[in-house]
Amino acid sequence: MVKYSASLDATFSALSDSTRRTILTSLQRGNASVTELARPHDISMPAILKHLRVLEQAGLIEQKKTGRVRMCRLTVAPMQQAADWLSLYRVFWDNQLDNLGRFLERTDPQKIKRQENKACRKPPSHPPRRS
Amino acid sequence: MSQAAVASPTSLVISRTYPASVERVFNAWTDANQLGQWFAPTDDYTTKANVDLRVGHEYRIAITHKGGNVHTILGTYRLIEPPRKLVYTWRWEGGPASDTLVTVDFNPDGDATKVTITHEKFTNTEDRDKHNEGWNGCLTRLQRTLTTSA
Repeated sequence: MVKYSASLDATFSALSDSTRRTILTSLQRGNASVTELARPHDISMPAILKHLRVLEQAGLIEQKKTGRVRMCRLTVAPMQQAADWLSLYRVFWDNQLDNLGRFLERTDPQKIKRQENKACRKPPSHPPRRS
Repeated sequence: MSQAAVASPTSLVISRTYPASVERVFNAWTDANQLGQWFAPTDDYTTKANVDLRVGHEYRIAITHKGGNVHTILGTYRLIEPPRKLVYTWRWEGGPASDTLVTVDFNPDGDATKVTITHEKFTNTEDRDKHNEGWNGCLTRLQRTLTTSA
């Protein structure tokens, strides 16, 4: 469990940078070389390599050198953990917000007032119906 | 893997609109008595809230299952702008020491109020090594309860 939590920290920390998120989005379309991944970004190669190292350390990508080309591949498990974490909270908040809605309706002062008025008022007499 | 996981990977944003004034919704969120009446996952829980609504001061929400298990959420208020905005830290008691951050925006929309919650990632990784067990179990238990009682 400690390991799980620490790896979640690493995942979220790695994901907190827009360049790294763009890299991951590119890798969703398939494996890519470091050069291909660097192309859309206006930053130096050492900077890209640093981002890739962070992603690799968080277990989000794997790098493999084939000849002179370094290829990157997305690894799914840590991302899935992060998504699971968020979806747990989504369920939690969805539920709480439903509850809040019911609470606000139950305690609506206007509604309560209307109900009190209704309770005090005599039942309306129907107008004589013409035949 | 879903695309959404990459698109918004570090925070959760969720909105809801209620036919009530911002003041009423803000009070429901910050008054201990009112919180106790709605802040529970299901009817199988009872909630007891303690709120010290001052920046730098704490709140504590104990959610007790009818079976006796207690889940406690606690944190510190970071920003209080009645009735429009609330920012506070959040963690489960017995869970990891690092906090998550919750921002609640209350925006008037005609006679209604739109509530937007942003629940953000762990902001503090320094305490990573101090993490205790419980965090994951707490949410998992909660999820189990939610899915079985749904």
